[in-house]
Amino acid sequence: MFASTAETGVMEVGGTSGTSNSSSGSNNSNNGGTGSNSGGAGGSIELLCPPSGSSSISGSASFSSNSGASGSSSQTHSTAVSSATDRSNNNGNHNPSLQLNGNGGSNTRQHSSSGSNSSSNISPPPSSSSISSNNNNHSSNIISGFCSTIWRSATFGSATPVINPLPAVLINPKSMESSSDSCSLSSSTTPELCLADQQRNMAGSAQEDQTEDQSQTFLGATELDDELIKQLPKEVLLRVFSYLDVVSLCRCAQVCKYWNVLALDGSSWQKINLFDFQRDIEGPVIENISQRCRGFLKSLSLRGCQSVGDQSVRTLANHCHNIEHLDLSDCKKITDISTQSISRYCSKLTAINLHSCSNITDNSLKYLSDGCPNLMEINVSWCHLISENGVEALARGCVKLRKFSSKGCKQINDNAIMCLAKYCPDLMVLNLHSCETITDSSIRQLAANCHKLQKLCVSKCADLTDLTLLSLSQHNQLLNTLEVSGCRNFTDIGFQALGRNCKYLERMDLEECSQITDLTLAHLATGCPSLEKLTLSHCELITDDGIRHLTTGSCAAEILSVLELDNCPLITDRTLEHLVSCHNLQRIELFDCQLITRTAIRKLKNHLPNIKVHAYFAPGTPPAVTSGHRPRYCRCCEIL
Amino acid sequence: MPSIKLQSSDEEIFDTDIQIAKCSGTIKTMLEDCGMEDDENAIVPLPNVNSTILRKVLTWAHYHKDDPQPSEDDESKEKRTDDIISWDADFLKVDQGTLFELILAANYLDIKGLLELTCKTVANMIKGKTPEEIRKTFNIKKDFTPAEEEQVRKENEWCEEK
Repeated sequence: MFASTAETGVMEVGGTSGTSNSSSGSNNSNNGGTGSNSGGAGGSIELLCPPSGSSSISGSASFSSNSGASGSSSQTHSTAVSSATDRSNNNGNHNPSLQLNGNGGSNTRQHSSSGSNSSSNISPPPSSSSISSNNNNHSSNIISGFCSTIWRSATFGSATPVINPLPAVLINPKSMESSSDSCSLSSSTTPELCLADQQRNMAGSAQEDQTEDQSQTFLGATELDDELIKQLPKEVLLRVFSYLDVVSLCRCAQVCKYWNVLALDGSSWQKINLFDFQRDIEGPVIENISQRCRGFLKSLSLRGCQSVGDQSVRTLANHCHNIEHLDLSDCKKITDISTQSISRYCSKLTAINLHSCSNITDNSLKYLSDGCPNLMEINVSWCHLISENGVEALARGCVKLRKFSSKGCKQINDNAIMCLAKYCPDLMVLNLHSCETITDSSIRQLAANCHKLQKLCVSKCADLTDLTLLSLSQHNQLLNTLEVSGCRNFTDIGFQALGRNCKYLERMDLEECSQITDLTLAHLATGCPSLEKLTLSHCELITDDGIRHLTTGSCAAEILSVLELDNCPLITDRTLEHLVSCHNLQRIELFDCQLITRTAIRKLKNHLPNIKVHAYFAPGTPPAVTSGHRPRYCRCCEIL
Repeated sequence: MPSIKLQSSDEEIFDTDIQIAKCSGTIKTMLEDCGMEDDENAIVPLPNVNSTILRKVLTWAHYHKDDPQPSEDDESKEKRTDDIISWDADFLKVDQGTLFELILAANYLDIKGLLELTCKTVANMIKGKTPEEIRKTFNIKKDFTPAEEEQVRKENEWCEEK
């Protein structure tokens, strides 16, 4: 079985080269057929490594034989012939379908070279039929893609129809697929055809062309070198561009016409962050980008682009239907009209940030609820017009919601939170900073319904009590971040429950939970082995003993990295002595801890050389201390 | 460890560890589709890669043979170009022609890691340069008319510092 198929393979090789034989009517055409393999790759050698390399010599030899296949027979041909014979012998041992790759390659090369060389052999059908007889699933794809690559490169190359053998290296069907994905490719089909016609006409005066071609190849070698990078197929160059930032892309667009098309291809502009250019972004830029990116755009950040208005957002929404992430934070001009167009066109939207878009009202949330059922993240912080009505509509329509942020929206009340709790069971992140009116009842419902809750911020919601903490500890074991700064009603009882059940807690902000004592720290130390960042500023009852509890806890030695103790008036240098065992501590805040001395800080730094200590000692001291003239000094502020 | 023979365009045979050869998606598919894996004498012809380049490709593949397979969701990851390890950087201290040939070979052979690396390298050659410097780096001819050039400049000036 193997032997017979192998033989068929050889036959096919003979057959194809036979075609070229008869058509170009000379024995040299053998090289044109089988030899073209080495011609294709060999030519590439010559083009790509102009200066040196023994391989480049043979390469250029067979390359010239290619371009002048039906022309005069030269010495180079004889070398090519011998290599061709070797090749076909080798081929005899091969598995046929493997051979196809080489075979297909030679066919195509033949096709392209015949296009330029002889009028009798130009029509594609003979070669394509011989290809199809090979029974290879991929072959026709490969070949057609292959040809188009060649033609395309010719299109984009110099104006004279020099057939460039180089792109023949590319017969990767996959990359073909990817290229067909990108939008501007289709436009290249027409020029290809035109060029093919042109080639046929040119072939009429074959003799002249060949000499011309040849001179291009030899004399024009440096000229071809000039455009080395043009040998890279479109999809590869696009891949290169995919690693570039917007500035580089915009500069690439100014290099030459071909690069202009590629650099502005939508596939390079899937994720755009224009924050760095916020001051320069005017409406037309957004409109320009929308038009070039179209369906490719997945993620756009216009954070801080204050000149962006409804008109630009409308154009954007109109062109870029596939956008998933849109950051409009601090685009203060936009109004509900923007969200209306987003709702109309962008049903795939999963995340939108409207932080500080203060014109946004409940209507926006209604629009998003209607048009963007896939929405998972929304930030309406500081949109102070937002109220329970908008949130209710949003919660009803966007049940996949995972993140909701409404910092500083004073109108957000218990009803709004209860709607979120009722309709959005997947909620994982909730930020209600300064939503001052909310009470235990809504948070308890939230805790009971949203078991996936991981991050919760209720800072400055001063009405909350331990009931909130108790229900969180009861239902939300996955909680890893809890910010409750300014919740003055929380006591040790609440945190005891939390410490008992929420073992994944990593970050806690307990600033101004002024009732908590060392007991809270003892509970957290035992119950929260992952605690990484802890803020205890203005917890005025905390003492050295509390810190000692913390440092003996399971998180202390390796995990705890940030500890904020500003305005904890009772802690002393002993706290810093305890902290020596926290090897991972990166930063500690000690502002206004009056009993902490410089000496203790220095000692801590000796033990933990990488630690950043933020403390403040009243000015005027340094000269006094360093000069040494005043041996007496005040322990707390070192003023004297 | 079983090996196979790879044949470059200029007829050189490379005896290669089969696992290393399989970092190429193209070769892997060929071997699997054709059931050649157990055939000691099988020769895989690679008509689009010459021996100089194939040698370099195999050197790279040998060094990276234990790399984890790049996962599918790579597309969504932030694209970085400053994460090239020093061995790779040294490996790619070659002239532009060789670099581009390596790209073409990696593309043809479907070696994701090498294609990624080489494309990143070219991207790094572009980054931070003005259009004129880019043209100079790659010897690209400016084919804009003065009017066209002015227009593209205007279209793209928003990203430049004022």
